[in-house]
Amino acid sequence: MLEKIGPWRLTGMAAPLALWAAHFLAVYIMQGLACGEGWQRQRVAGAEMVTWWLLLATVVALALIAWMGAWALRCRRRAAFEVGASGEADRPAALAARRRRFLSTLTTLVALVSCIAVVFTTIPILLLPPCA
Amino acid sequence: MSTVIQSPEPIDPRENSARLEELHRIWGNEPGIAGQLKAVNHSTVGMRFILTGFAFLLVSGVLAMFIRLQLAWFDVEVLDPQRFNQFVTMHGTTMMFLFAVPILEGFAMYLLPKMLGSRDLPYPRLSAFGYWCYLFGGLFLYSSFLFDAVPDGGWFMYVPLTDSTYSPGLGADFWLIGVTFAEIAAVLAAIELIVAILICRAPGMDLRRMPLFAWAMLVTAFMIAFGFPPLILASVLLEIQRAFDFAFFEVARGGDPLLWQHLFWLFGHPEVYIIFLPAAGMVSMVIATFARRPIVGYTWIVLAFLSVGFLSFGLWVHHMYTVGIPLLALAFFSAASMAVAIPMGIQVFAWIATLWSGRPWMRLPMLYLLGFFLIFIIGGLTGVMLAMVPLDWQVHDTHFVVAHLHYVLIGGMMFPLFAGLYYWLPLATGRMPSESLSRTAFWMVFIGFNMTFLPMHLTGLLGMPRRVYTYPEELSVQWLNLLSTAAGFVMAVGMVAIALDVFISLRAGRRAARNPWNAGTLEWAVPFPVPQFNFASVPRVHGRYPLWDQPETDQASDRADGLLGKPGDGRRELLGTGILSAQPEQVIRVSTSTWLPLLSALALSALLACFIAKFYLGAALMLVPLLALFAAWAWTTGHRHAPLRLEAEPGLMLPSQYACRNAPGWWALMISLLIDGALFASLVFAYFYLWLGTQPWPPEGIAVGGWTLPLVSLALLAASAAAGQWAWRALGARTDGEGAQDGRPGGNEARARGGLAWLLSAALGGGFIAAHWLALAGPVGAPQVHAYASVVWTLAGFHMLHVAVAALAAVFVAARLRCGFINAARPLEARVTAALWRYVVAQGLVTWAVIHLFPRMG
Repeated sequence: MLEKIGPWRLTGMAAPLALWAAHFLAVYIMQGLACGEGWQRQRVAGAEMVTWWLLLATVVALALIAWMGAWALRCRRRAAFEVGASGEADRPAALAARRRRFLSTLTTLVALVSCIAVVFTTIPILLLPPCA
Repeated sequence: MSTVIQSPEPIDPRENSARLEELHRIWGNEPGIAGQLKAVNHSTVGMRFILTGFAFLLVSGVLAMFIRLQLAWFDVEVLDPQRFNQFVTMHGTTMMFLFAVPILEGFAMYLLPKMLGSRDLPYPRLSAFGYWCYLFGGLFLYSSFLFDAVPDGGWFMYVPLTDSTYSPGLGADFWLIGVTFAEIAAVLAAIELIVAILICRAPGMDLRRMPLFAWAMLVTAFMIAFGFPPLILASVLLEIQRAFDFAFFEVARGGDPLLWQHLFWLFGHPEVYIIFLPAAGMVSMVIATFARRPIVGYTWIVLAFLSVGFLSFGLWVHHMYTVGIPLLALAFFSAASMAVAIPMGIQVFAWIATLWSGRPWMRLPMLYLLGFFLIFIIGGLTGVMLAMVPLDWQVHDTHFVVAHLHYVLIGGMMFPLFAGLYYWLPLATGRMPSESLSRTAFWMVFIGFNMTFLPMHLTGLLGMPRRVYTYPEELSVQWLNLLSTAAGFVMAVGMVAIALDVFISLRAGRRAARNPWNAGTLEWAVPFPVPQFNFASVPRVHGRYPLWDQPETDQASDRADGLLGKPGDGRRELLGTGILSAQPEQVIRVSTSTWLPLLSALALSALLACFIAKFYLGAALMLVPLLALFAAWAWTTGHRHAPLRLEAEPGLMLPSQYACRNAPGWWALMISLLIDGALFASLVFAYFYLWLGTQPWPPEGIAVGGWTLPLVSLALLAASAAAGQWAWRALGARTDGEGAQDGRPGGNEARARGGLAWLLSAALGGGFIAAHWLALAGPVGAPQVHAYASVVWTLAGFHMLHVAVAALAAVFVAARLRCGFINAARPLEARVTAALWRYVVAQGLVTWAVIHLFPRMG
């Protein structure tokens, strides 16, 4: 299963941004439910419960994205080592190593952009009440 | 890492010219008008998209000139208010749906196979069909002028203005049906382009060597796959409401007009980036050639494309800041709108760095790129301003927004498009544009554009409303408007000059040398005039810029002695390669010229024409020829006697697509299901959106009913799934590519058993439809009663339609098994249908849970 979203594949490359999208939708839906249906509006520890749920979603999303980024970074190091070992030859193994390096670099950067985007989305949660 | 390409032994010149002649015969369009109407070749179809797109641009430009005339002074009356609304609606609709998206797809269809080193796109008939849908959809929309029923509800078609109470005529119907018809082209092109980019690249062009235009189109095509379905769904829902009095958007019956806005902008904002990304891909191609160096930051630009592709979906509500959504939700979209500026900035800096470190060559395409930089950056910055909720509240619905969107769209799309037009013009015509007239035209467009739209920032800030045929004298903006109008005409003359320039260069332009700009990418490896098959031998690629890395690539691909150089028994053949590695994997045989796309599109137009005329029986009857044509299409897809393995070049045997895991047919299904999944998800979203505003759910007077019939229908669905699975197993298929080697035909008995199982699954599917219909008819009642009933019936109907299609596909497979098209070694069609069946069942489970479980939970 994890093979399919490895950072050396197209699906793996898009996965951190897919997580951003999932987080974005999750906070938008939870906030909509809170304001439309009165879901989790009780106050706990100085904020409405829904705010805590939104922050929990953020922590989970950030943790998953960070894990993917770290995985991609490890793959990148390994691929960079393989590229160094295989030299400039046009053999399939050398090409595959360079491709993996390219894709895992890209995945690392995608994870970084996704993290920034999730943090951007979260700032208003910290600043605003859920249903003003 | 330059590698010299050597043919094992030079081909005999007579043999070479005989092969070339044969390739011309196989790939050429048939003579005469009939030949043109039957053509499916990517160059022909792509060029048609481009020319038709320009025609719509000119028409829409004329509408814009009328709009500007009307607004030139506060008290003129060039157009009466209703005409003004019609022209504004048609201008926006045409530019978005009939110009921007189709023309960029046309460029992609024309260029991508050449850029990727392929001979054609993988589904030629599909792109031809898409073109006819686009043309007929556009003509459909414009035919409303003949019936004096021109749509006037704005290009965004907000309800309730466009429902049957407030827009009683046929105008809105023309819009909904015409635009949806034309959108078929966009969606089909998305499938075509994704698969072409993934599996039709030249050997050696692995992902990190792919031209940036291909990356941009890959992301764009996926965006179309997710972005267009919400609008298609919204249009279908509104048309159902108008035609059959359903209640999705009507407050009195539990509907919600904001649902329209959500679905529309869920499409509408990504749409802006769907238009921009291909243009950004063009910029990345043109800029490397004219900076005379490889692009700087290739990885970063790919990162930017990908990030923009995702983040742009988190922006839709920033068109809805003033509709009364809670502040926190607005802030989410405001944050995402600012976040998208990060990847946008990354790519702009990469382009600037390329120019900085290269030796820029100031030819005409470069001039347009400089115009693009200036205009687009201003447009981007006003976009960030508009992302701020308080500023948007101030300038919402004013000309400030008009100025912003034209800076973004004309700067971000039209200037790169013209850069691309001039850059690739020699490829299409074999002639160079004139430098003098084209430069004059550029300056007219550039100055005209800025003088038209720069003042609108000011008129908007002063409070001049948009979409209104006049403005108060007290605003004192008439002089600025007069300036806008005058400059608008300067720009229009510039556009005519560009058209004239292209026409003159066609007639009298200097003949272009091969690769006249000394570019590095494969599209310039083709000889002039470009043969319909592009490359006599599919080139092998060893770097990001093949013509810079190995200058002899063009000569090698002219000779018919390499990959697919030997024409295979009169069929059009493409090379299929691996998604990541681009190693040769299969030989794909594609269709030659045929009437089927045109006839199918004509049948579809007849159906839609009957529908708009409210002649529903006629529309239902038109399904017969349409289905017959689609059946003929599907039936002529495979070749029963095609060998399972083909010789791609001496010593390289490859499976044909019928025996290959990565077959184009398989990927077409995957991408179609992705699009269909997005459509389904939009519908489920609509269900829950309506639920959020309705208490109780289901409303008074509608029951949820008993369990028996829903459970019976669920059991039938499960049984049909089991039968489908059994049918697939019965074939004993080999999907590991090994089937091709042993060539096992599969026993007659197994085929007969499989055929029966397919028929059984189709019959059980039919049973499910009947049972589910009965399960809903009692408790839910007529769909017109309440938005709940409307959305439940639509959801159930949507799924029933899928079951019906899957059942038809099962009958088709049974027939193909019987006729020997499908066997264990050639399982593609059965594999596709089995996957379709699994998808339909999964969709059915979700539908069933939403309809029968969710209302009982509350």
